[in-house]
Amino acid sequence: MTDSPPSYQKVAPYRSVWLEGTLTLVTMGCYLFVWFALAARDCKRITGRSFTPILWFFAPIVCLPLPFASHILLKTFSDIETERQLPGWTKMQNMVWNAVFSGTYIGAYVAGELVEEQAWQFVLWGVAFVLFLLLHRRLNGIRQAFDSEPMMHRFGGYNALEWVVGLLFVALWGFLIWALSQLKLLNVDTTSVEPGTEIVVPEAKVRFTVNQEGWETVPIGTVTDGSAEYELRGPASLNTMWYAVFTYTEHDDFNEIAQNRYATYLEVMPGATCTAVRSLQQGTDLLRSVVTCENTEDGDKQLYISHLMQQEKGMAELVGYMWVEPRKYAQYRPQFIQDIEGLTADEK
Amino acid sequence: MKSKLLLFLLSVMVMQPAAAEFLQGDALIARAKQLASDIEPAAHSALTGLERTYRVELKNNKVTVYGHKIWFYPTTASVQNNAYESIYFNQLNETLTVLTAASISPSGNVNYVNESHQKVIAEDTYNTFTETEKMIVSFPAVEVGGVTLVAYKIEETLTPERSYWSVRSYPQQTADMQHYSFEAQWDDSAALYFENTSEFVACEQQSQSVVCSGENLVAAESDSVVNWGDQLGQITLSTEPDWQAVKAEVRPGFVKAIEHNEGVQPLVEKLAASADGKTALIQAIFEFVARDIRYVSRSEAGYDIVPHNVDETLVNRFGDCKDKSSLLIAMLHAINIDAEPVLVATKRERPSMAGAASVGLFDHVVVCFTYEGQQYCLDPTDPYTQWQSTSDWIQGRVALNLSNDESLSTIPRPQYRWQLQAQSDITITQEGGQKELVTLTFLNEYASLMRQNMAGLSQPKRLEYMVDVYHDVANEEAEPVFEISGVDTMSSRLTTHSETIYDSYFDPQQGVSLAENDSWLRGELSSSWLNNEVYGQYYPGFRVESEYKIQLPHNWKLNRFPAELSLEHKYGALTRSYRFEQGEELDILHVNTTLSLPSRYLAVEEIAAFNDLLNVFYKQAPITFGHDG
Repeated sequence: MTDSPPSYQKVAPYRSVWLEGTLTLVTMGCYLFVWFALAARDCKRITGRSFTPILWFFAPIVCLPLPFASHILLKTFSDIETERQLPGWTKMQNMVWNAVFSGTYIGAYVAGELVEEQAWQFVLWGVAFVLFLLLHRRLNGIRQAFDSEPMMHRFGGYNALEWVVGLLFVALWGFLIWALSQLKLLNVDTTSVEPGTEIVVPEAKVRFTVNQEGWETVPIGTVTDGSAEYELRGPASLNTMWYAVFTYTEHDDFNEIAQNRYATYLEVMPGATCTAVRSLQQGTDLLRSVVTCENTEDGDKQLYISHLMQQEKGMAELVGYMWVEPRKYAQYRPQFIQDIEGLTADEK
Repeated sequence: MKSKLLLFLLSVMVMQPAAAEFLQGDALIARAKQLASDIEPAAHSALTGLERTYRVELKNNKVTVYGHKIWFYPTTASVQNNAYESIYFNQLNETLTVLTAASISPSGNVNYVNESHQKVIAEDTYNTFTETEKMIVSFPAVEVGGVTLVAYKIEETLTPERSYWSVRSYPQQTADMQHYSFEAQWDDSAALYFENTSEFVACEQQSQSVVCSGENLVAAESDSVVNWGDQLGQITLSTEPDWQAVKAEVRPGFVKAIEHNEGVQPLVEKLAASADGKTALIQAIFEFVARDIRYVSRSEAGYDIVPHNVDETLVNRFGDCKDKSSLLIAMLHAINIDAEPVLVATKRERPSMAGAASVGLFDHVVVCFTYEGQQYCLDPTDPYTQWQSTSDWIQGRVALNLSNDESLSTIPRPQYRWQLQAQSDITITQEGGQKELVTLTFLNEYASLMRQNMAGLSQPKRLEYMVDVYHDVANEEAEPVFEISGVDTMSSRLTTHSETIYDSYFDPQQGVSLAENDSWLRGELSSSWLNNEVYGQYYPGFRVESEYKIQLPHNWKLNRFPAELSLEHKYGALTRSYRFEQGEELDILHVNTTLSLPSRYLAVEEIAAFNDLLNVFYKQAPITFGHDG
């Protein structure tokens, strides 16, 4: 009986780390799913073990099984490296990689949900990305030990499908950037506002304090139709959290405007629950009105609040709008309302 | 040394007021002509006083007041409105003699007043005890550019029974006055006490004389509501050294009248038999005196400040404020309530402007006492006000309690003179019509006012009256059906119920957006505006509690509700809250609104701000609700 070398199906060919990294970044991480499926496929081809590549496609999507999936993959890599006497990682290195990769990967998801500061999320994604590149480098070493054949012919490191998908993603990026610039969301003419900053709006003769982080002043027209005197955008993504200051002339009727706010909010916020409270400004016979409407739409919480202040001549109004997921709503709401209710006359 | 003495005498002569001399007859005619020739007619656009003098002489207990007045008439309006003279006196103890009265035409013709041009009319009003008369002298042949003149004297002899006397003169009047003088001299038969609060005259007082004079006194500005006695400075001359002396003059008459009270005890026992407790007995006693003893002016000779005996009043079943107060005091004493007579000056609110102490300041008397720690002042001439409320015409008025050592005070004011509770039960139909049930409860002084307005009317007329009120306040077109209770009692409440049906006035298919005017609250607000522009005034205090219960079809899905109001201001507050109840067929919107405007004095500078606040409150009256979205 003679030993005959086992017969392998061909594996995916070597691809440089930077090409793999670029594809992953351009596809906003979507390529990672394909990478896991191909890695599982090659492991199956090399070891003959019962990997089901299509299931590995979902390994990065479903976070919690990721440590177990990674463990299986790393152990298979180590077994192949041992069998073929390839330089590889120790058991400890496997464990550390798995712990750090799974930890940062899952951590980035969790941070996206729980931590307001987005920088944390980017740092975690960055660490996971670097670890992924290290793993790819290791897989490259394994693949180079076996016969390889690309699924499709490669041009400049990528096959036709990868080029098409990659270019589609690039186009998508381009469109997104263009669209955002059209919405002025990327307008560079913004100024961040530190928590506790008192905003004075001389045109409206009012002042109020912004008490939360992540606010920035934006050009007039960014969050309104341009009729505001002053605009601020909040920390929530897109234009779903903002303050705007409006003014009215002495010919406008206070009751009518306060009433219209109430009616309008009910119209744009189906099923909203509203409160309307009117009082006198301290030591004067000038009215103030606070109309607050809240509802839940598509699972997210929405809030409109108007604080209208009568002045000797005319009126000023601070309007706040917020449309965010329930967790963030609970987090932002108290200070948000406090900011709006804190509107006072600028007597200086 | 001689030059210093000369300088001193010269300075005294310069500083001493130069009083115009009292004139009559030809001398007065000549003086009037001289003053008329001195003025530039074109410089005057309204009635102008050329000269007014008072001279008071007190000799051997006889007081004589001499006066003359000369007026210039530059316009037709001044002739039409002012070509007469009013001279006030008390017919019971004073004698008025018109010495000279005439008009002088611009060409110098003199037209004398004869007896047919003179008329005496009573000046007193209901409730008061003074017997003042007014001599009206109508000047004949007055022309534009002409003058009128009058000289008169009023004489009175002081007696041991009536030893008090006083005179009050207002140098500043509602017309410009070029020369004013006041002069008084008295001997040892009676001391006179003098006080001047007018800034327009300078006075020089000696031990038994006083001389005051002023030149070019500008007219006092008139206003919507003004008590001249509280606003204008005045010269007072009186036989009373202080307010204790006034009490000593008046109190004995009350003590004596109350002593004759044999009929009181049986009467009180009879009332007590049907009264449940002391509070109810006070109510019964007050109702008896206010309603069963009718008011008749009884200030004949000897009784101008002295009440008739209580027994006499009981027998007659009539009396004036002194008599009724004495009877009420006697009856309250019978149930161990320490009630006291309190003099009231019904046209004065500022004790600081009362001038020298005098009996003549007062024209009314009421009864005050403390019961269960609370002070009450009852006016037994008022048959409409429940005893625990204070008649509105004495609230805040200058008062003198005859039984303690205090000086002048004022009758307490309640925090809110006018109090109203309005309950509206409205059912809105599917078709957009509505049925409205309204219950109005007028409280305390407000109940008294409404009772006073309706007491003399027949039942149909009372219902008509309330319909008119509804038309004025709520809706001119509606035809409410009223029920009224509490008019013929002296309770603290007067209640009306009304039912009004409104045909469909909107189409619910076009959307539901409604504004229900809080009519009664708005109506009371609109009656609270103050119009004074020159003088401060008291705001009497208003409180309105409004409850709306609005029932409307459930399928209208009401989602817009009235704004909650929390309007707090130093002058008052307006608050509103709502509650929404959902039912199977009808939903109910409850809206409670309270308006509180406590009584307070408002300086003239504050009146505009006060009215601005009323305006702010007024605009919040509508109760708005509907369905949006």
